[in-house]
Amino acid sequence: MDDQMIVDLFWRRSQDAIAETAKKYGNYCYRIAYNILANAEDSEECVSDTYLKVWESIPPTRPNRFSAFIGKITRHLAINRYAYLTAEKRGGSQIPLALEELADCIPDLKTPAKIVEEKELGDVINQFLGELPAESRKIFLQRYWSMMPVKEIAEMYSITESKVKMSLMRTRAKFKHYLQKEGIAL
Amino acid sequence: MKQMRILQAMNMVDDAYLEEMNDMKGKEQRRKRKLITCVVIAAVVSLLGLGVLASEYSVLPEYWFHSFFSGDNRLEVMGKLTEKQQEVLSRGLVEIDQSVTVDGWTITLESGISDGYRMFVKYRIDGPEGVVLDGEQYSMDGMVHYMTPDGEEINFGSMGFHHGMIPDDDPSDNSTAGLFECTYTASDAEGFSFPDGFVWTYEIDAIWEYGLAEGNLQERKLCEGKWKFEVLFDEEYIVAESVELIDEPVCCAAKRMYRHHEFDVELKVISFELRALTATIKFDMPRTGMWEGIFIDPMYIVLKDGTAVEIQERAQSNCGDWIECLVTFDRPMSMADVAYIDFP
Repeated sequence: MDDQMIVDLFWRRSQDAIAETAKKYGNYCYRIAYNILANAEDSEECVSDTYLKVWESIPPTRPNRFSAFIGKITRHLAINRYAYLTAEKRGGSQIPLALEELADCIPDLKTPAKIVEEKELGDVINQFLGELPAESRKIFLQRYWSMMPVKEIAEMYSITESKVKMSLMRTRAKFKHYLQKEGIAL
Repeated sequence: MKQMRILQAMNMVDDAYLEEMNDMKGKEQRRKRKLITCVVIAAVVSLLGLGVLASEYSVLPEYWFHSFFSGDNRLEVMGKLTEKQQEVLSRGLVEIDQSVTVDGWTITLESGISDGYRMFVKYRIDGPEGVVLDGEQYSMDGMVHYMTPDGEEINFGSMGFHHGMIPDDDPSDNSTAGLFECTYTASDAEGFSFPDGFVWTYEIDAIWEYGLAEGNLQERKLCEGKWKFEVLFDEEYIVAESVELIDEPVCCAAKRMYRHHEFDVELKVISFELRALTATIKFDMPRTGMWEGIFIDPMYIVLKDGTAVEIQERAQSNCGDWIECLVTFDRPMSMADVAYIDFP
């Protein structure tokens, strides 16, 4: 079933909407949640919460890109849950690793800088992503949006892990430079 | 933490970039889904459709087992059953006849029946001479244990214990009777199977009486002490016959509950094992999140004479890749009477 049909089902308040969403995006949402939470039960509950959130959001929302819409909800819920559950208990999560890697992106500013709101930071990230080659952008997002382990990214794109790490390192360096150029502090 | 701000802000990434990222993942998902094709058994579905029209819905009075065990109504109850069902009861009913007396209070386990997963035990309380047992309800404090014949405690996937009174012919005397109903599913019993036999132990500490006085429920402890019973339900005591009613997986409609919402879903039922007093249904665990309950409702066992017997769900166990449900019905089942299962 295509995404617009699924969205129509939500608008009609048809309970098939959840079943069709689960059928098409169940694994996708689970992977996003699991990469963040590293726990099957928490991830499953997060996916269920995602369906509930989508059910409560559509209508009035009518997302144009349903896959991105549902992925964002899952990711947001998973990060919130992660924060709640505390890092110590979550062995295997990709979050501590991703955070460590992202430390490379923190600008080292010597001049007064602007501390931006989350919305503005999101705009800056989008502008930055728009300047990246497609392959680098996909790898960067798989790692820091989907929290996918490096090994899995390498398998997905049929490239070596070293190449993934190299791509990520270069993109992080570019991102740091971009933030510095824009005079943005975090 | 500054890095966390980046992670959180990335939730505002343009949808177009996420769609671009997901393009390749989509291919991988599609490939996987092909491998998990749901098997719809058209033949079974059409068979079920045929049966529903011809079915005569038949419901025995609720708690009919209580009437059956009371003795006086046994014939009336039996008259509502098929010959084969009557045979099941006659074959399965066993005399336990164990009594323990403490301070003049005697508890007797009189008779019982079990298919290994559900058990009824009739008991009687006799008070000292001169006591009148005319309360609305009686109950007992105590602990129930299940052991293997080798003395190992059995671990449960789920367990239920219900208790109800049997109509009292003479409320002015010192005697009253009731019926225990236990349902259970074994979990990590490592090869143990209830139909192989088990020991049911009940240690009672106190007897209570409940009555209504001016509209208020009043409770009264009648006696404290130790009444201990051990009943071996072995091959002789268990109606062990069972039959698998599904040759191949069947897809059916179900309800899933989550928080205050109810959703329609489709399940793949992989097994329906029918026994004399219970059945166990197994269905695939949907990989779509932790839900608070899945219900296949309504579901009927349709007999060869067209009678549709409604199935009640009693317990659900998460077994990893599948979910197992213990279900019951309002009469004993004879395998020879059953035509098919009517799934929604």
